Amino acid sequence: MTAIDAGGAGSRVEAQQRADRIAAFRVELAELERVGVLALPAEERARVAAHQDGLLRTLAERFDVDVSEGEKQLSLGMRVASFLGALAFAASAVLFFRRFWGLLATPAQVAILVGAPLAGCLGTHFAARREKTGYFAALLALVTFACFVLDLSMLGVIFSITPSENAFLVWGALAVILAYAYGLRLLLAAGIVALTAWLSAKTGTWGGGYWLSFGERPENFLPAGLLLFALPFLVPHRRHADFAPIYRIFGLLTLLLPVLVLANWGEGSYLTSLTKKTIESSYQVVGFAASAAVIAFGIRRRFKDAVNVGSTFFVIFLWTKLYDWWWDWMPKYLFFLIIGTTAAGALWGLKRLRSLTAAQVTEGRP
Amino acid sequence: MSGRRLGLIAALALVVLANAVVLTGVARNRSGTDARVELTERECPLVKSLKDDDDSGMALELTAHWPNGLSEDGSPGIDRETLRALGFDVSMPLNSPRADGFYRRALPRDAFVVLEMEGPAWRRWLVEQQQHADLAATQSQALDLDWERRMGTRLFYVAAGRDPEALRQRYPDRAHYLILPAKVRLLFFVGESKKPILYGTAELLSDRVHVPLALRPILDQTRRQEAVTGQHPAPKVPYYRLTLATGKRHEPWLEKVERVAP
Repeated sequence: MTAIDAGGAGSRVEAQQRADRIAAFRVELAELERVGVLALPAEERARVAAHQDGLLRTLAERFDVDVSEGEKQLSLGMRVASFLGALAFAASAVLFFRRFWGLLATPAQVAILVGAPLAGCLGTHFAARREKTGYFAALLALVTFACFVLDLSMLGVIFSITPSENAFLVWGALAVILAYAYGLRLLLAAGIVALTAWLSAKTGTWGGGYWLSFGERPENFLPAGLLLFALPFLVPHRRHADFAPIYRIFGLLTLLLPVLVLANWGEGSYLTSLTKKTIESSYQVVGFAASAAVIAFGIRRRFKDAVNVGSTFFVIFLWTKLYDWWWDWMPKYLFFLIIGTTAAGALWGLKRLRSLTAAQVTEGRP
Repeated sequence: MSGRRLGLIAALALVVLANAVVLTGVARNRSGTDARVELTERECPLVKSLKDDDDSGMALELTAHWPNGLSEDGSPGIDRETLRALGFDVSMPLNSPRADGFYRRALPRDAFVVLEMEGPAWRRWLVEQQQHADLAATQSQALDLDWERRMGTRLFYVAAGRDPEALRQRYPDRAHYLILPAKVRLLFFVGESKKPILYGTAELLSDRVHVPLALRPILDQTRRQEAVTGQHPAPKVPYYRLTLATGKRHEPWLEKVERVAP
C-alpha cells in the first residue's frame, strides 16, 4: 500500500492526526449546514463522505487508528493499562530472578540473565508484527529493557565487577533502538533518562570526580540537557513526529532542574572561586531568564510543551525567591495571599500572550 | 530490510555485545591472580540484609578498619600527601576561613587501597585499644576489647594510591595484602582542640562478595541455625574461613569456604 492510499500518513501518529482532522471536518460541516452558511450538493457530499470513509478504513486497517471518540477513550485506557502492566511485568521479572537466583549455579544464572533480554527483543518484534496499535509491543519492550538492566547489574554483583557509567550507555542505547524500531515513546523516555545519566556521569569524570558522584554537581547535567533540547532541531523526526516533544520536555527538565537546584544550593557548583551567595544569585537570574526565554520560544514556535515547562519553572523560581525573602518575617496568611496573587498575575500574563497569539493566527501571520 | 527488522538485529547485537564485553572482562580478571588471602567470618560476615524470602542470593561483606596515626594529626585515614598524589587539591591552608567550604566541596575520586590481613597495623591497633581500655577501666570497654580479639576484623587499610602496580611493589606479600578499587573522599572538621583536621577516607567499590552455589553449604548452615535459634552457631569464635582471590583487574571472588574446627 502506498503513502497516498493512506492519506499521506507515514506513521501511526500522522494517521491518527488525519483521522482526527476528518472527524473535526465532519462536525464543522454539519454545524455550518445547520446554521445555513454552507449547503453542499448531495452528490458532492456523498463523494466527500465516500472518500473519507475509504480513507478512514485504510487508516484503520493499516495503523489501527481510533475513528470515534469512544475508541479514543478506550485507547487511552489501553495505554494506561499497557504502561501499568509493563511496570508490573518488569517488577515481576526482577523479583522472580532475585527469588531464585541463589539456588542456581553461576552458568545457569548467566544464561538466564543473557537470555532474558534476547527473548524480550524477539517477543517485542513478534508482538509488533501481530498487533498494529503497539500496546503489547510497548509492554514487552519495557520488560526487555528491565531484563537488560537486571542482566548487567546482576553480572556486576555475581562477579564483583567495579561499577562503570558505561552500563547507562548500553541501557540507553537498547531503549532508543527499541523506541525507534517500534515507535515507542515510553522506551524513548527510558532511553533518554539512561543516556542523560551516562553523559552527566562522563561530564562528572571530566570534571575530576568519581563517576558515581555526578549528582553532587548539578552542572554535570547541563550538556546533556542542551543536547537533548537541540536534537529534534538537528535531526528532523519526520517518521516519528511524536518523539520531538519528548526530547524537548526532557531537554528542558534536564536544563532547568539543575539551575533550580543551584539557585538554592550554591555549594553544589563547580564555580568554587565564587561565594555561595554569588552562585545562588547568578543561577536565580539565569533561571528566570531561561524560563522566560523558553516560554517566548514555545509561543513563537507553537510548542505547547515548551510553554508549559517554561511557565511551571518560572512560577517555581518566583515562589522560591519569594519564600527566601518573606517566609521568615511575614505572617503566613499574607505570604500565601501573595503567592496566590502572583499565580493570578501569571495567569493574566499568559492569557494576554494567548490573545496576542490568537490575533496573529486570525491575521494569518505565523 | 524493514526498519523493524533492522531494529531487532541491532537490539540483539547490542545485548550480545554488551554481555560479551562484561564476560570477557570477568575472564580477563580471573586469568591471573593478584592476591590470594585467607580470611574468616571476622573479616567477611554474611550480609544480613539479604536474609529475606525475596532474595535467595548470598554475599559476604569485606570489613576493614582504618588504623590510627596514618594521617599527620593521628586521625584514622589517608594523609594529605597521599591525597595530593590521588589528585585532590589540598593547597588551601587548613586555618583559612575558606577551608571548610573548599574541602567540603571536593568531589570523591577513585583510587586503589591496600588492605593488610593480620599484620602490624592490626597488632598495633589492639595494643592501642588495650591502652584505652586500661585508662577507661570500665567493664564495657573490656568486653568490647574481648570481642575485638575474638571476632573483630583483622583487615586494615594501610595505603592508597592511583597505581595498583606501584602499590603491589610496596606490598609484595600476596598472601596478606589485598589491593582493591575504592572511592576516596575528603573529611574536614575542627577538632575539640579547635585545630582543623583534614584526612581522606575510603569506601570499597566492591565490598560485597557473591557466594556461588557450590560454596554455600557451610554458610547456609550458619544461616539456618541463626534462623532457628536466633543465635549465631559459634558466637565466640568464627564459624567459617575462606579464601578470597583478586585478579588482574583487582576484582575479588571467593575460592573456598571451610568450617573452622570448633
